[in-house]
Amino acid sequence: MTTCIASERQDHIIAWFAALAIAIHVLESAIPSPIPGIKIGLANIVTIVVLVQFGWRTAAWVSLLRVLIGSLIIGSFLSPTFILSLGGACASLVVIGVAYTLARHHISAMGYSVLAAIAHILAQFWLAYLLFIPHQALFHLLPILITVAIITGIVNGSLALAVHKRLKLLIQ
Amino acid sequence: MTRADLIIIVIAIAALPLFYWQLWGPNYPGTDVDIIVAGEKPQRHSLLRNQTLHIHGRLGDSIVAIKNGKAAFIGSPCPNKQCIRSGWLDDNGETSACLPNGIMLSVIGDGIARFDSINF
Amino acid sequence: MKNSRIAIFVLMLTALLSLSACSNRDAPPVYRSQILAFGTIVELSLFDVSAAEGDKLSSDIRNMMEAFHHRWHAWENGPLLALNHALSQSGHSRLSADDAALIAQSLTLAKASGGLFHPALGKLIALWGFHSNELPQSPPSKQAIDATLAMLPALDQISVDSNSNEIYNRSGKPVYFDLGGFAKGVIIDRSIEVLRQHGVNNAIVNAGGDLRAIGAAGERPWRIGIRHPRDFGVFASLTIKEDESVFTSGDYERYFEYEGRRYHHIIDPRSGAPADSVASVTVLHHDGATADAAATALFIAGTQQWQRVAKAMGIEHVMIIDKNNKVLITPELAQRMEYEVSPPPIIEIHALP
Repeated sequence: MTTCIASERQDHIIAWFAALAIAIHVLESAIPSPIPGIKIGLANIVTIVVLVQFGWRTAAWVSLLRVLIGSLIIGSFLSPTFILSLGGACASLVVIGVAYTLARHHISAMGYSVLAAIAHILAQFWLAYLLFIPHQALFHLLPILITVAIITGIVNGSLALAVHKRLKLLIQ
Repeated sequence: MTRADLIIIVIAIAALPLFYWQLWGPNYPGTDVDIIVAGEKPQRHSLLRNQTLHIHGRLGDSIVAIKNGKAAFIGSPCPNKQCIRSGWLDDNGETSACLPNGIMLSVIGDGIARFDSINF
Repeated sequence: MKNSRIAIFVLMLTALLSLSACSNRDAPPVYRSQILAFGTIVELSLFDVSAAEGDKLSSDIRNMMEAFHHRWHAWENGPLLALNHALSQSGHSRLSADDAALIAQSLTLAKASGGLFHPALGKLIALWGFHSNELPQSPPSKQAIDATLAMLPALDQISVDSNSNEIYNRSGKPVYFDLGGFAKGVIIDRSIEVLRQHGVNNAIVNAGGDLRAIGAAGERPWRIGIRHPRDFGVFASLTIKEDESVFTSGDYERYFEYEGRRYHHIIDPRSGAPADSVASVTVLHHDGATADAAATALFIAGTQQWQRVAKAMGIEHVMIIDKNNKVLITPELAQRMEYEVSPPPIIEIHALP
């Protein structure tokens, strides 16, 4: 009985946060990016907040639902954008999952955010290289992409920290 | 923010120069230019042979000139002409792209080129 | 325990970051420069040479090439036009030892080729409109070609006295030297000499696609790609043994199209028109000058006569790509050639007589 309630509650949490993430995801996709291929990835904030608040399993659900439903809404489902998005999300989840199991009590939203951003870009980069542009010259973009990933990771990290603080107050 | 966060950020930033150094280390003059149309196999042209190419992209024809060992976009149907502004490329690894038209130029040289010299 | 977790973590992050840092750069320390000289782009690849030294050598070679270009330019007012004028008017001229040796070498190669490489085709090439930086619009008339052919001096009527450095034209016809099918080879050979004098023994000099390579790129031999005569990219490739020149004559180098037909710049001295039988001829030989003249001569000789002409010119390694992309190749070169096209071409191996 308790498990049922718990899972129902968890479903609600997943649904709510996924909806929030999808909204951000869709909104962000409507804003033209200053540099092609570079996005702040505000929707990742939701994943990180859910991770620190509710754990990895919930975060994974939120993240994957966001990618799936978000792409259906934008109309990019199964397109290259979707594949890159999914690849990035999976890699982020794996990396933060490992970090979560190893050092849950040491890392805050900031650390996860930076790790997720780097994992995200590396996975997208490799996928782009392997699937779409198998060209050595692409490697010359990598330093820039990683630099941007670290910056967006820190920015999203501080936002996630702030959101998490308020959320904790709210829940209390 | 915790100490572990700080360690993560510091390591990430510390590792960055490694990438820049590895990838933007010493440059060599290019020997060929790859013209990459989104979704197609790159077409390789020698930088030694002067020519003007019309490359069909999403919006229309981009005009690529190869002249005296350099390559550049000299005409483009895209609205902001960023590709033309990026100018002439001649070093290994230099790239220029017309993203609206889905066309990229990339100069290939040592370390990537399979040949030391091309006979024609 | 906590510390070890952090350590694992640090390791993980480093591994993540270095994951894609492993792009392969096996570039040998080759100095490269591209210089504009001799009316073309000349590319120098010098192994294990400092940038300063390389720049100095590039500049020396450019100066040498520009001087040579001026000396032997076939249609701009200069020493060669003066020589042609003197030979046509008085039938005689005196040259420097260096120039006399060069003319003599071209005549020797011409005779060996049975006149297919002809160093005095200037008038005919001009008639076709190739004595200009712009390409011509249309071919000349049959009558004009025949008239020009009739005035072509026989090669055995032109001679060089190697003692007095005097050159004689006994044909009674005007002489128009045009060393186009040979000068590039000479200039490449001379560049190699300059490099060797400066202690550079591992290098490639590539002038507008024709090249001579000496030594190696360190531990590995120089790798040469031979461009596809009809398509983009490389058709075949080979590695260089010690000191070899690779010269290709092709119908795609300088040409114009008129009424759907292609007219290229390699003129057959027998017909007075562009030779028309193969797409390209690649010759591998020790010195560039011989390779250059031979590539021209074999291109004109075509599929029927190339073996005989190659033999007469002392050429052992030939690859011909005919108009259907079929390869005719000599046995030893066939062993060395790697084909870069798929499907691989049809290959016929022909031993020289």
